[in-house]
Amino acid sequence: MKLFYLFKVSIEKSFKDVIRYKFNTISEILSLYCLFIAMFLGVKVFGSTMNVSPIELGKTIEGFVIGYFLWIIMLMVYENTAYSITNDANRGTLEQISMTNQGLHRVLIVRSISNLIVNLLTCFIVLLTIMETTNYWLDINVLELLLIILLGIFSMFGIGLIFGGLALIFKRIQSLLNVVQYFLIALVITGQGSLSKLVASILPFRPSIDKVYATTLMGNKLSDFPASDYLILIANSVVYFTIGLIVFNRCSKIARKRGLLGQY
Amino acid sequence: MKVIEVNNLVKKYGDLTAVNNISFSVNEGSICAILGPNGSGKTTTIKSICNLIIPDEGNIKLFGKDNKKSIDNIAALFEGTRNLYWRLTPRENLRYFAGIRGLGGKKIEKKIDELLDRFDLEDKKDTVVNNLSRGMRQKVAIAMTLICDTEIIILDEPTLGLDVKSFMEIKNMLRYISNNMKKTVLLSTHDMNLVEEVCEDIIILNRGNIIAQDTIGNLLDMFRSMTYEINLQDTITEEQKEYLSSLENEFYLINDGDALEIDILDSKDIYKIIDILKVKNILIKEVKQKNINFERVYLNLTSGEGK
Repeated sequence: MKLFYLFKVSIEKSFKDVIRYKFNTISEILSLYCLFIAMFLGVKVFGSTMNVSPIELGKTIEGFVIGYFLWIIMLMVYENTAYSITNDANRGTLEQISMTNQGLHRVLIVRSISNLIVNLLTCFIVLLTIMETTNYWLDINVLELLLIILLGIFSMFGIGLIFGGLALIFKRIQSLLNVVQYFLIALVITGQGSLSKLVASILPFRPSIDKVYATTLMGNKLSDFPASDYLILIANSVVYFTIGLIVFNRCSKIARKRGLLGQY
Repeated sequence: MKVIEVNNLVKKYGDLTAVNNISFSVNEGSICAILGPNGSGKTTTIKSICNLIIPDEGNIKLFGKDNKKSIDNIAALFEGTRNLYWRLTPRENLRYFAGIRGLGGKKIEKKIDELLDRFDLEDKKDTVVNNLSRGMRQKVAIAMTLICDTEIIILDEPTLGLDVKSFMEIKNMLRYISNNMKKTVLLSTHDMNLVEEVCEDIIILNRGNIIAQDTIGNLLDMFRSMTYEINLQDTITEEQKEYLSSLENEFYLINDGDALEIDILDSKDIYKIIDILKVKNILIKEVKQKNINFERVYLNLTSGEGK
């Protein structure tokens, strides 16, 4: 029941943040959309002038669209935990959420999940707008897509917790977050089959990315994948999440020892 | 019953000792003030009690249990921070802070209504905190500490920067919290009027050490018996002033030199003081025991004059 109330108030707050910070919400959607259009046109122009295939990102334009969609989801999830901490430290509410009997990590994880739900709606709005603009309509089974993302996304929560922990100690970690963005682009645009099975299983969220490509681009059904693939996907998610949790709790302890919690 | 027990607490930041082996306890249902100049270790002590700082040595117990395991018993409001989400209304803030502690449902909604009503926030319940006055925000923040019905309420500078009306409202809130809600309140403040009017027990810190720990009544009595005001027949001359400043006893000139104030260790010492004044022909009109306020007690103690 405790977790239920935590989730309830977190999701309420996420929706209210979206509504009450209207300008921020609209500019976020617009910037994500504009960034895509800029990349899309850039790739097209580059392809035409160099007389090469205009689309290398995920091999097809559909791949490019879905790759971008995955990238922004990953970006929102891992940045959310870190920004959540710096924002709360700035607002002077970090002490309050650190004093709950549920533990700071649980509050942050539930809050990140709530934000993910809200952000997924944003992502779908961006995705629909992109498909409309580019006139490339993907044959998406939303439920299948969501299931794959939700099974794997905990790996990104783990990465988010690592950065959240670092934010508790170092406060300003913007530069580091920017670097990780590029790593995530590489993670998404690397086509299926270009990574060895071992590497593809080890990299965070990569098993989910492969499955999303397979369902959206190749028309595979969830039932087409062997059980071992699901096992790898879940294990990847669990391992990164556990590492994130351990690192976060360690950082939280360091911050409490140095008296840094809430101090900005 | 002791609800907060701080035992041999030590906290160092590099070479700086913020808190130096302090021990104290707070009794159930009391309003205890933790006082001291800036940098005396108040915030470190309070944050250690709230488990936001891990001390280097010592331990803290709440209701006899380690504070890490009994954090459920504490709600706090911290100085210099907003404590609230400014884009949420008072009602939404109270609901959120109850929710992150795992509380919700009809019971909490009823409690929110009661608190908003009790602290005259009913009219503003649906206004985002960003649009409330500073005094209102502080009232919402204090209400937030009460929503989870914890036994211990810690308030760090609750009246800082408030106008007279808001100050009076917060003071009344504190009285209500202690008298009607039967909470134990640990209060940190620089506002000696607030301390004198609402607190029972006092802990004074200076440079990480406890320099006084007693009831406010005892501290006032102790200083009242030692401070005398001597009204003079004539305004004191420069020569007499120079003479007084050369003496071991410290005289304070008050009323534009028409009176002196002196702190003495023993009441009998007043005769010696009269003899001293006689030497330079300083004529006395009246000698009276001074009615001291707590601000003077505090200043005496923190400036190292108190014994």
